[in-house]
Amino acid sequence: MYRLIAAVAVVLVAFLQANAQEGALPLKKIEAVAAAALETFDELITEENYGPMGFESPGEVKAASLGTPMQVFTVRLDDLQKYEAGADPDTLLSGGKEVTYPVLVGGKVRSSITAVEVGGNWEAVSFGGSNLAKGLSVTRDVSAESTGFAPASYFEVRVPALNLHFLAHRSDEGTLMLTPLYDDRLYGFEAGVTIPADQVFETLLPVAKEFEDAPG
Amino acid sequence: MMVAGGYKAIGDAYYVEVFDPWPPCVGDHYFVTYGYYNVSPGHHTHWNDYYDVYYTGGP
Repeated sequence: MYRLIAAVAVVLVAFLQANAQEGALPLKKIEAVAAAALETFDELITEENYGPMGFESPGEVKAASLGTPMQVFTVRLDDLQKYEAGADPDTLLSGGKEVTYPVLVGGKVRSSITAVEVGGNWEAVSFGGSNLAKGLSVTRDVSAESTGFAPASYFEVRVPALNLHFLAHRSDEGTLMLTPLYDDRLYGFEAGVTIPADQVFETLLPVAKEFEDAPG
Repeated sequence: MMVAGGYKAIGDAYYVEVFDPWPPCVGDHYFVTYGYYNVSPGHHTHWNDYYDVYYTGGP
C-alpha cells in the first residue's frame, strides 16, 4: 500500500514539475473529468468503429482506465514566423490548458481522451486518436528509459500549421528537448531522435516563413 | 484540415466524427465535441467546409 502511495506521489510530483512553467494544473479535477468521460467514450464506440478507434473489441472500452497524462503545448505559426535563431525556444510555447490521457486496457495504450479548459472549466473534448496516443506512449517509454526521467515529466508540443507532433522534455540543464514522433524527410527529422528545441525551430523557420496559414 | 465523416448525439451533446489523414499512410480516427470542432481559442477555428466531394478519375 505504501509503495502504491509512493508511486502515485512520484507521478504527481513529476507531472506538477512538468507543468510548473504555465502554473500548476488542477490535476485532480482534470482526472475526474477524464474518468467520467470514459462513459461517453463507451457510448461513442460501435461495432463499426471500434477498430479505427483503437480497441480490439466493441466492449473493451468498458474495462478501460486512464494512464499517465501529458500536457499539450502549441507552437503558433505566427509566433514561429517571428522566431529568430538563438532566441529562447520556450517563448514559442503557448496553450498548456490541454491534457491528454492515454486510455489503457490491460495496461496497454488503446486510445486517448483529451480535456481542455473552456471558460474556466475543464471539459473532455476529444476521444480517440489511437495512433497518436500509441506513438506518444512508445516514444515516451523509450526516452524515459534512456534519460531516467519520470514519464510524467514529459509533455507534448504540436506545430499544427506544419502537422508536426513532438514529445518534449527538459534536460538536466533545463533545455527544452523535442523528439519527433514520425520521420520527416522535408525537415530531416528522424522518429525517436531527440533534438534541442532551438535547433528544431531554426530548421522549421524557412518553411514557416513561406507558409500561408490558409486551408485553400 | 480534416475530414468530418459523421456525427453522434449523446444526450444534449453532439460529437463530430473525424478522419484525420495525418500522418500520411497512417491517419487517425476520433470524435470531438461540436464546440471544440467549431473553435478552440488560440488553437484553431472553423474555416471553410468542402462537401459532396467525389472521386471522378479512373479506376
